[in-house]
This record gives sequence, structure tokens and C-alpha cells, in this order.
Amino acid sequence: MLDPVNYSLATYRPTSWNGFAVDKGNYIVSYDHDARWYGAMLEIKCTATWIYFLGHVIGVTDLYKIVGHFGMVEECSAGPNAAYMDDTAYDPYSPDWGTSGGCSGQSGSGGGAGSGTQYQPGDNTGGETVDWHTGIGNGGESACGQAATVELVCVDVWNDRTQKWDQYACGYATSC
Amino acid sequence: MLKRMDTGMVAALMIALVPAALLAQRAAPATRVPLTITLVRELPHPGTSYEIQRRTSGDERDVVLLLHSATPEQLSEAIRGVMTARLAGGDSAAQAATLRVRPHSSSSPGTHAPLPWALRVLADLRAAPMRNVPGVGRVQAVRIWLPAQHRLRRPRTVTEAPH
Repeated sequence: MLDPVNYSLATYRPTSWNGFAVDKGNYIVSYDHDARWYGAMLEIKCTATWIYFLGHVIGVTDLYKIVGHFGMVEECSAGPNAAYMDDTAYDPYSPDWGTSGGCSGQSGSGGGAGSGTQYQPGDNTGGETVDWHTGIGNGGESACGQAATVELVCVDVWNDRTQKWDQYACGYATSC
Repeated sequence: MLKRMDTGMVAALMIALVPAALLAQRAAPATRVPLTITLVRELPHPGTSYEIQRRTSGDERDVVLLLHSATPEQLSEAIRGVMTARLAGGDSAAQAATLRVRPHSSSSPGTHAPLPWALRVLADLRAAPMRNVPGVGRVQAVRIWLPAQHRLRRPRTVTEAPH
């Protein structure tokens, strides 16, 4: 839908949307299906050049320049092979985790910083990943989907010299 | 003037140009990262029911060693271990290492059901022909793909002031 702003400026919103997500609103999907654009809106400068011949208008050429875009773009990972790891539909032999699908519909919180929730081991995050160091929800999309549960785990590395396992790092992870 | 605008053309511009321009700012990352799973008669190192070998070069950079007697539960645990190791150290290892993953001492081990496709992979692994896996030897092996851990996708606000 085109709405004049002033003079040659106008805003444009899609007349139809590809979908709606709770807390995020309407969105359109990019051609490669790799992103959603929530609340898509463009500001456009329109220029028309009238072509005259012998005092008669014989044509008009229109030029549209995008001078502003509004909304929120969310890059997606989902697609035909987008099942989560705990899903029977997950294909472990496919090298591609989603190329032509939509977003999960649950990742992110709209602000880019995640929920900010301090999770404890055993907590279900509802699909959000957590920061390795703090266990705070960071808005990422867990490979476990809604089954994502927080664990406090340690990675050990084998030390050839001492012939023992050394602690490499401990942190929070989502698992399923 | 505005009434003369071809809204269809503008819509096409909107759909085709802007997201492409925004997405062009990033290189397409791998969405899955391969993992080679092998069956061995015994593990090279004690104190673990599986072992993760990470390398910085070659076709098979992450390799899991599992015992022939491994169960779907143990395979699932190994796969979860690889995901955790990648979370901690990156989808591509910065240096070669042999790893294991365990619950923190202050944390009770979580109880997870085996991954629903673990039994299938285990069956494929047991039916796989012997082949040479660098650093492991001649073993039965299959390659699977796991979601990349780096694919943390945060929404980006693209609102900008008109020029």
C-alpha cells in the first residue's frame, strides 16, 4: 500500500504478507527463503520524467529510489531439513539444514539480545540457546528446538604428557 | 505523480532488492557441519564411553570413536558431546585435540532419551564397509551432519532514518 508522505516521498507497505508471528507481527519472506522481514516498509522517492514530442506527451518514465527501509530482518535457518535434532524427521545424512523454508517462529525476541533469562541446569528454554559462560538466554535457536534443556557441562582434553584428562572448559549448553 | 507509480513494480523492487542487499552483507554460513562416527574395538584413552577427535585439516575433522557394543543412548550422548565441544571451541577446531564431555561436578547428569534417529545411524554404522579414517585406522565409519553451532541468528533491526 502506497502512502504519500510529502512531495515526491511516499511509503510503501506490502499489500499482502507471507505470514504473522506472535510478538513480531506481519512479515514477508525473501526470495531465497532465508529471511523474514517483519513490519516491512520502504520510503521511496518517486521521479517521473515526461517525454514530449511536438508539444504532446508521448511517454513517461518513472524512477523509484528507495531512501529508507523500516522493520526488522530475521535471518532464518529453517527449511525442508529444518527438523530439530530430537525430531524423527531430522535427516542426519543431509548436509543442509534448511534452504527454502521459513523461520522457526520461535527464535529471537525482537530486540536482538535474547530473553536475558538466567537459566539453571534442568531448565527448559523453549528453544532459545544460552550463553556458554553465563547461562543467560541469548536469543539463538537451539538445535533441540522446544526440547532444549540447559545443562552445565565440562569439556575435557586428553593430555598426552600426563596421560590424563584436563579440564578444557565448563559452561552452559542446551541439550536434548 | 504518485498515482502513476506502478505499485507492482515497487513491490517487486521491495521484495527483490532490499532483502538481497541486506543479506549480501553476510557470507552464507554452513548450516550443518559433518561428523564422522567410527566403531572401534577399544577406546585409546580411559575414563569415557566415547571419544571425540578434532582436527584442523583434512576431510574428516571431527571424529567420534564408539565401541562396537555402543547403544543408541551412547551414540546420542556422543553426538551431544560433539555439539557441546563445538559450542565451546567452535564448529571448526582451532587446534587438534582429543576430547570428552561430561556433566559439571555440581550438576547432576541430565536424563535424555536417545535421539530418534540414533538407532538408524547405529545400524548403518554396523553395516558400513571398513575404510581408512585418518588418526583412527581402518574402521567402519559413517558421516552424519549436525546443525552448526555458530548459526546463532539474532534479529536485526534495520530501521533507518530517511535520507
